[in-house]
Amino acid sequence: MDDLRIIELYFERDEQAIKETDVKYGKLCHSIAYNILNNHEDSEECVNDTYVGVWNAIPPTRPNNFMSFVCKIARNLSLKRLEFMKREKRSADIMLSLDELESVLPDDRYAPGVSDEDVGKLISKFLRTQKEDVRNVFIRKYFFFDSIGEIAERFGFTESKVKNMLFYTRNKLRDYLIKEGVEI
Amino acid sequence: MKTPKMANSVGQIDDDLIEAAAECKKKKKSNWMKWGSLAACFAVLVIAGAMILPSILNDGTTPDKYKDIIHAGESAIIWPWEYRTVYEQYTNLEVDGVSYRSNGRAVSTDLVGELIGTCSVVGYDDIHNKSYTEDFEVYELKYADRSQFVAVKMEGKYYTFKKDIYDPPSNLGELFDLVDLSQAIELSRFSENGDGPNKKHYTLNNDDYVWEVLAGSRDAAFIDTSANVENGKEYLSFTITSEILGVYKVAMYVTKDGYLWTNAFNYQYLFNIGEDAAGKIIKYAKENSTKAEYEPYQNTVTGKVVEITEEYILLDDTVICNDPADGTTYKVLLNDLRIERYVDHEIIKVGGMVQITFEGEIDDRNTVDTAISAASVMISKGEVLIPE
Repeated sequence: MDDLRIIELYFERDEQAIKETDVKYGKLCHSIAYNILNNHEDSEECVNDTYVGVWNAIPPTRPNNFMSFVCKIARNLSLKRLEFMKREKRSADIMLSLDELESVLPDDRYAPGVSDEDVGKLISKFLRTQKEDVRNVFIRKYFFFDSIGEIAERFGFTESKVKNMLFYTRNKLRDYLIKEGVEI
Repeated sequence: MKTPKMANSVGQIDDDLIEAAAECKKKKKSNWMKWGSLAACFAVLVIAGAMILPSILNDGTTPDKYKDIIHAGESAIIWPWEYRTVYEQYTNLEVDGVSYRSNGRAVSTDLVGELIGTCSVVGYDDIHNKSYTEDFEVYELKYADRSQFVAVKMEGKYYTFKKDIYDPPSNLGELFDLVDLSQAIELSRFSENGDGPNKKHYTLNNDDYVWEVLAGSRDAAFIDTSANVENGKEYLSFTITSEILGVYKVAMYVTKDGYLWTNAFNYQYLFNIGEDAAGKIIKYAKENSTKAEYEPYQNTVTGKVVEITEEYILLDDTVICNDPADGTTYKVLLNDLRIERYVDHEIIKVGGMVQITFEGEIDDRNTVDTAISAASVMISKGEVLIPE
């Protein structure tokens, strides 16, 4: 079913909307949740919470890009859940990814009043100046939280190449954000 | 734990970018890329080995001076081509149909034999998916058959290249025919039932008898297994460093129940030498050795970078000391590409915590002039962790 039709079902408050969302994006949401939470039970619950979140948001929201809208909610809820997970349950992969992101711009270096949305816009602007592969590798790693191995496999790159691409992209992004005045 | 703001910000990037990344399809690898990934696999294997080995050998060490447990390790960095030393660049060689690979270990001139000829050595730049070929002189090595090991002369030094396929001998005799182990390896240190800091360590007075016993066990069959042969057994663990084999502090176990195990040949080699031979070696070693101190896998200094100049970096370890008065400032000379590149790539930055690995000694003015690698470390709840 196409996304516009699914959105219509939400507006009609038809529970079929959730089933259709699950058919179309359930696997994608689960993979994001699993990459973050590293266990199926929590991931499953997060995916279900995602559907509740979508159900509550539409209406009034009418997303322009339904897939991305659903993914963002799944990612957000999974990261929230990760905050409450015991340290030993968190995977080394996700912790490393979060550390790498924090190394780009530590929380205490953010200029006051700069919102996540503002920085998100700048990251988008920066990514648009990068080559397509570089951009997609970055998003696969830090939005979808794919492992290095999965990214290497998807793009036909070596793992070392992926690591290096990410290393350079993070550095360039950090410089860009500093230049744009996001850092104190 | 709080999600970093940066992670939340990435969650706000434009929808079309997310959609494009979600839908980007798998690409078919070209043959070239297969080679590239093969080369990368080696790199990762070597690095993984380097990371795992210290954890096996060290079990983490807690010197009295420091309040933190310091886990030794190496960072898994594949350097850009121009930041690699010549022996890191050119690693793959083929002579007479045999493929060899180097892991960058130098061999002394007095162990180098006859010139075989000039051969093309291939290097892979996996970052740009390029290959480079350069001609180098290839030599035989003394005490090793050229079908197994050769030396390649690069920038005036010789480096060991090993045969690059899994083709184990059928018994110990065959291995002795290919490599004169008693000449290639000097067994000087061993420990009992493991090699961590809590084990008993010894220095062997003379290893001739051990080789004599092993040379007399020619029929000891090779056993193809991935099982841990030493688990739950009594055994001696000898440390092997060999220029000919191109290995540094790898292990050779002799178990009381009659097995000889080593990882000195890139792959696990296990031979059934029998209880009698094993018993003789163990008895001899215990009776002809003296107690020794535990030696860490590699020498390291850890601390906060307080200054970086063109010539050196200053590293202060006060922050990890039990008593801040014990804090020391080390001067690490940037006299080698292997350490300079960490500064160029900002892995070593002022204010950052790093662990420097070095080969030689620290002099009495706390100067390290043989640094070869660095890793940024994080202090977390009393432990120094090295992010991958």
